[in-house]
Amino acid sequence: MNEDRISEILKKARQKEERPAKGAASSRLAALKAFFAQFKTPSGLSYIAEKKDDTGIDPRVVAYYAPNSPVSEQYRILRTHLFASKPEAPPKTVILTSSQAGEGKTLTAINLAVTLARDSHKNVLLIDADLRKGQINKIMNLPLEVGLAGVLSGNSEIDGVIQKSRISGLSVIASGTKPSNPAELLGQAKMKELLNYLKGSYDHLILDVPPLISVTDGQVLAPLAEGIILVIKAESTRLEVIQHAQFLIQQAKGKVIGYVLSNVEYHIPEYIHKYL
Amino acid sequence: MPITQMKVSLKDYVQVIFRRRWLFIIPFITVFATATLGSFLLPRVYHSYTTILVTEERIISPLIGDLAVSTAVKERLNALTEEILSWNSLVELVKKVGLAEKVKSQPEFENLLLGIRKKVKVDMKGHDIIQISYLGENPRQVQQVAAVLTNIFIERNIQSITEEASSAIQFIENQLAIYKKKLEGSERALKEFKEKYQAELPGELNVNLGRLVDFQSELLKVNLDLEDAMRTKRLLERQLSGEEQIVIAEVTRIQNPLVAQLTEHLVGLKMQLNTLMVDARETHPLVQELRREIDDIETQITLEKEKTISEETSALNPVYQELEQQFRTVELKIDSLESRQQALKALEEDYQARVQSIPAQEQQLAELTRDTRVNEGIYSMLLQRLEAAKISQRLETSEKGTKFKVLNEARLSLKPIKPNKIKISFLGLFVGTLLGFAAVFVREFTDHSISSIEDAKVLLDLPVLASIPRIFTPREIQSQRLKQGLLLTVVGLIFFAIIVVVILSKILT
Repeated sequence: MNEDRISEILKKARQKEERPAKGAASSRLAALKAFFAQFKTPSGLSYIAEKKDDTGIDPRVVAYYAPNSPVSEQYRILRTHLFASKPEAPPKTVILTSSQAGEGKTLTAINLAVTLARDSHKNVLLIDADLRKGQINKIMNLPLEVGLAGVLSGNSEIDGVIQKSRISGLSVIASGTKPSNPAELLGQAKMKELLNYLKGSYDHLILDVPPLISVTDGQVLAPLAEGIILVIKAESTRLEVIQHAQFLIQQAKGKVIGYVLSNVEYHIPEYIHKYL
Repeated sequence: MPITQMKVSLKDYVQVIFRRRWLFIIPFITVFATATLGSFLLPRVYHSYTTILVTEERIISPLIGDLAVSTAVKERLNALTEEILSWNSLVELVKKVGLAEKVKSQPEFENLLLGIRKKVKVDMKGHDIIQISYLGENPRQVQQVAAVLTNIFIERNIQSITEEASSAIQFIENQLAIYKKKLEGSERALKEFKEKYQAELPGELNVNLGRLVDFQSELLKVNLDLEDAMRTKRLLERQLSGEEQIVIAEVTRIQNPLVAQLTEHLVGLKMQLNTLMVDARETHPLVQELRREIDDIETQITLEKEKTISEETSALNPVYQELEQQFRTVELKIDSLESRQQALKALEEDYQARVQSIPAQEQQLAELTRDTRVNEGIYSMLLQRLEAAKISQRLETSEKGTKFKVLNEARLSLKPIKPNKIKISFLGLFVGTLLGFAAVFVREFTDHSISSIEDAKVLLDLPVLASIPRIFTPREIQSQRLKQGLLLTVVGLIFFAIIVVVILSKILT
């Protein structure tokens, strides 16, 4: 079972985390630090995005900055499950969306794309289909002006908007300048043609799509992807909302492969969790 | 997510608590700190009490146990508690202790009394120990009130015992007067009745019956005599009618021989008749036949006599005279018998009535006797009780009666009994914890969001592909630390405040 594997990996990850803490407690100060460290927030498996490097990529792109962290491990698990969902023909075009805004879909899309490009050595294209509030360019430290909106409105050529990222194997199409009619643009046949064209040149197309409930963009794009991953913000998104979003995808004849639970917090401190 | 929908383990509960720690911490600290601080700020209440041993003389009491005037200590206690808490007692208390010095208006005074009433407690400790306690904020005053209350209690108790006995005696005396009158009345009625029906009372029944029988047999005898006399009278009448008053003294003639013959026969017949008449009636056929024969013969004699011419000389008939003499005697006898008969009849009727009237009188007598007896009984019982009441009055007021011994004088309380700070703090701790848990679980049950893979597994129909831990930015870490720091500061401040209050309260006392 997927979940069983996840928890197994999580357990291993915990054990890995503990070891260096014990090893570091060589001096008294270090021991004291280690002791207090366990009381510090965030605890357990949470990741602290510290500083940008010279690429200017947002520190939250964990798959890039800390490929060995438990968080990156989770992206790897996501990748594995994605392939496992259809082993003979893994989905090429994948949409990452959510029910509401701010659930973490953009970060998940970026981290998934980074993992696919870096670890699996695939040719990955990350498309920011959120024409309203596209953020991929900001996070990846790329210019916004040239992007998908331009291509769909006929102002730019497709080859002109694909930007190479600092990560090998990962190309990005930004959202571009915000248009006045994003849903109409995305609904054009041109979008489908564009995706079909891009599928020829890349192993995977990862689309970051606006939230389903607030705007129709997601429903418009849903049938174009082979699989849709619904990002759920833990302790925040209500069940009814998720069910409604799923219903909207079904209505649009899209296919949900599964969910990604984001922003998961492990509230029980390590020193207690050990005994449970 | 509602945790009821899943298999719940201890870990899940711990998870819930940690996830919603703020919801727990805030009510917990609020309640606990309020209770702890409050316990120091609450007014101190001091307690003073007296214990009184009540002894009742056990040896004598059983004698009067079932009489009207003995009351148990416990029963009396209820009445006394009420009495102590009565308006008059409290006013007396307030005056003696001087509690109303600052009171200006009547409503204020009434509130003061109501307040005292609530703070006084009368308790039974075992069956013969009474504790009177008083609570208040001024220890010296509390002691004073407890002492005065005890005095009032004992005074009132002794007074009430005496009053009880006196009122019982008074009551019995009243009743005695009433029953004395009743008894006298019924005795008088009985006496009058007996005088009125002296000869008809049940005891006289045999005498009367005997007399009645005597009279009746005598009457019978008189009747018989009377009838006898009447018969003799009738016979004499007839004989007289058959005799001439004047008879021919001398008849010179040649006697018709037939006449002599007939006369002879007639005499024979008459003698026969007379013999018969002794015990036969007129209607007897033999008598009738004899009479007829006599009549015939007499007719023949008359006819034969006419045939003879005779010369006669008249003279008084001696037979006639003798018969007449006899007749008069019989008539006199009849008269006397008749009057005797009358008298006897009257007597018989009288006695008959006497004998018949006895049951009614008997009943009346029974009623009168019963009334008298009942009144007598009640009167003598009341007399007994009066004596018993007098005894118990003497007993109660004497040394052998109920005694009150103060075992514990009211003492000056040095430590307040309230507020119990530790108890209140623990209560605050307990209630705070409970409230915190309640808040956490209420929130948990009403929260419909997905919080873990386990939730998602149960509630969603598609697989969870990954569970990404929260990625913190340095700014988020900072704000979280700020939040924690703030909490620590608040907690620290609260404890500091508690310590300050404790120290201040120590200094003030």
